[in-house]
Amino acid sequence: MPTENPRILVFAGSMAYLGADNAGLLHKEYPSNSFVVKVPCTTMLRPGLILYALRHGFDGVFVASSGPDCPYLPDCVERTAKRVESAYDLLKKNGIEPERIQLAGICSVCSDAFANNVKQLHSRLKKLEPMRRDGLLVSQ
Amino acid sequence: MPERIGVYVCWCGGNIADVVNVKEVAKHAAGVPEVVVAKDIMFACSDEGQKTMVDDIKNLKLDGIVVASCSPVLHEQTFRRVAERAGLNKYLYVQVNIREQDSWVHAHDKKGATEKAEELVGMGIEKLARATPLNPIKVELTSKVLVVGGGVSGLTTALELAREGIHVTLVDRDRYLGGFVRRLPDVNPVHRPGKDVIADLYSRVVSTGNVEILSGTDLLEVSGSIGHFRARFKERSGHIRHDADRELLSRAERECPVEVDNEENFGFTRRKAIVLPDDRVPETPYIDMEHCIKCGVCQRLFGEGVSFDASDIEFEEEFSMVVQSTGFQPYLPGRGEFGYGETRRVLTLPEFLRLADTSGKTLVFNGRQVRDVAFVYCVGSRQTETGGPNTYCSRYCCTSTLNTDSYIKKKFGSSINSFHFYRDIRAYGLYETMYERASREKGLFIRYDPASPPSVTAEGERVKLVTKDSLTAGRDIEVSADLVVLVTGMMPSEDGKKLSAALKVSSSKDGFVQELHPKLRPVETTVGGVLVGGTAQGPKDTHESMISGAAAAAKASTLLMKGYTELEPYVVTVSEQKCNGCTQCVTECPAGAISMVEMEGRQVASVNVAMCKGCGACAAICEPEALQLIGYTYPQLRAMVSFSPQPLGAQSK
Repeated sequence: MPTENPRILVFAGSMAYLGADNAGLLHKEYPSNSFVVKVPCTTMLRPGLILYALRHGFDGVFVASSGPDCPYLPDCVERTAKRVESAYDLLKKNGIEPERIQLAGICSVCSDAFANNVKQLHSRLKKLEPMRRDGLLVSQ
Repeated sequence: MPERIGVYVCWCGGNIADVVNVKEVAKHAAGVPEVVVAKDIMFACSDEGQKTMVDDIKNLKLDGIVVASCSPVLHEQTFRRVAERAGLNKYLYVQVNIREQDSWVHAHDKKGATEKAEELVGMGIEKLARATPLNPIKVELTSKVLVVGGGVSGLTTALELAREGIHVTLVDRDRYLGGFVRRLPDVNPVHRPGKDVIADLYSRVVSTGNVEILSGTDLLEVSGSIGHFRARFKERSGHIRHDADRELLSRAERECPVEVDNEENFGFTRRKAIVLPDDRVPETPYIDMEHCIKCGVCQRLFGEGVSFDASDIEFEEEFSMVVQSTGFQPYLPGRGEFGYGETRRVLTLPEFLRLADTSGKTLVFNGRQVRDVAFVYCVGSRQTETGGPNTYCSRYCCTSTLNTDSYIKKKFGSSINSFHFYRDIRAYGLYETMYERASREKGLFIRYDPASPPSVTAEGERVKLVTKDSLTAGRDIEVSADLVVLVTGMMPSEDGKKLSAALKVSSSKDGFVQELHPKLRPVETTVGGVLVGGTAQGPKDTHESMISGAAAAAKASTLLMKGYTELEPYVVTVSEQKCNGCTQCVTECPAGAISMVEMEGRQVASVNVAMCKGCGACAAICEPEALQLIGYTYPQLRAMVSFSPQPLGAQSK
């Protein structure tokens, strides 16, 4: 049974947040079941937070790092990748498909990249079985 | 933590309301227990909208507000002021983006967009319910600025700041100011020698009486943060009195028996061990102790004015801000790159300029008159094809070469033939006229393909260049020249890189200092209180460097005139109880803001808030979650991501 309308959480670094704004400015449409939570820099994400989101109502998490333009860290990409790698491991340990996580660098004008990443993750999640949470099927 | 929350859902005219059912969103929010009032507003940012919120905060004793409207980039400051006007802490306000990130991207999914807005508002409420009142971090600023680098940009910054009454310390490792420009024989567009331009700037700087000039001084160490930068200097002794008598100095120079290559002119001229300023500034002589044989000739003339064992002076000072104007270094071709280092007749452009400047009425190299000069462009720049490290265009070199062509023809007569082996000519703006003039003055332009660059081989007293001219159907073109000049690009200076590393200033992928925003914040760096001017930021010509230097001064003075600066309180805090003393955060912190301190007999992490950049890198790896980024704490983020419009069970089918 595939997931009908997967629910996506987006953690956006400060530049990626502007990229999402830019997608809005240019009216680049993407699935509405996606929610941006702004963080200064995606390097602050604890791997456990990603697992937590998946356990509490999201089918997938898109980590939108600010990429090389990150005003906080020149090596934001490398550091974020490390966090995401640990999150993959954490997911695997908990029997959750790692492809529920998407990682991309999104610059302040990367409107297409932002919209496309959400779309991509959305269609990938559709093919997966709905997230099982404590014996409950949450996704509709 | 807010328990009486007001929620305002903005129509933004039709921008939001045409897609999102704002009344539904407000109604939905009203169902949350902490929400006292939830309204939809035509324009939240209008006077009327703002008044509604101010009145509600006062009348209903709200202790926090959520505004669902446009991106916080647009109106976060507006609504923070609304909160402040109503007597609320401005950080007890959360903006929810339902325009750029909702109505504008889901125009064809009104139901979905409305549900999304409801959830986003819910997440905003969860965040606000866990927020605490905050105060911006206030840092006092004294009017003291350190300008590192006394080139044309640093001098301009110093001059502009000093004219505003700000005290400046200008430090340069070189004993004479002016950096690269000092050695240019002809500065475009004023067509004066660079050292005159520098001397002019210098005298204006000195006349302000507000600039302490530390030339011939090493910057040993610099650390700290805005308001409190500490710098340690070493002023190298010149071993001779600064105000030594001019005539005696000339005599001492004549009589000094030591003669070495003059590095100022790349060895095209010689100098003595006692060095005279020779139109350079500051007008102070020095004795080069590396070569001095202590024969005593000058000592006999000056007596105690000369002291061979005078020691260097080390001292420390504190500054509010730092301007990095460390300039660039010219690309140095490798041995054999276009014949460089293999034949002496291949020079770089900076070397050639010194040769031309120090020649008399005829251009002479190695005892022979020079008639044919071949310029090879883009050496050390745009190395995408050759796999070299510098993929960027250095911007200044084309026009500098065109200017050089015109300068040598003006100085040595039009009997000089010039050949330009170029890839593309970047003569932007008014510089196009220089390109036109060089063409008119019979400069021969030969366009080469980077895949087959000109080969350069020595042929007796001449050099042969062969390339395929891409404009004449790729036929081989051979040119015999007296001199080959490699037009070398700009590279970030080693001194600049060291300073950036010490101050934790981010660099671009090309290694130059990265500005915060190319258009909106062009002279600010990633570190508060550190500004950048001139070519430290990237290739620029003289004119652009001066503009950039002046911009850095303007930016610094806006902050210093106010006397203080406010930093966002989004920094990391430590729970000493939870901290297990593992020290991993100390290594993880990119700003060097975390140190270990002793508390009740054990080591715990401590964050210097003025240095913390608020990235949260440390918090992510803190096993016991002792570190929290204020404004983005993990309890806040968890509450946001676990927010659900309905109980989880109700959602399942």
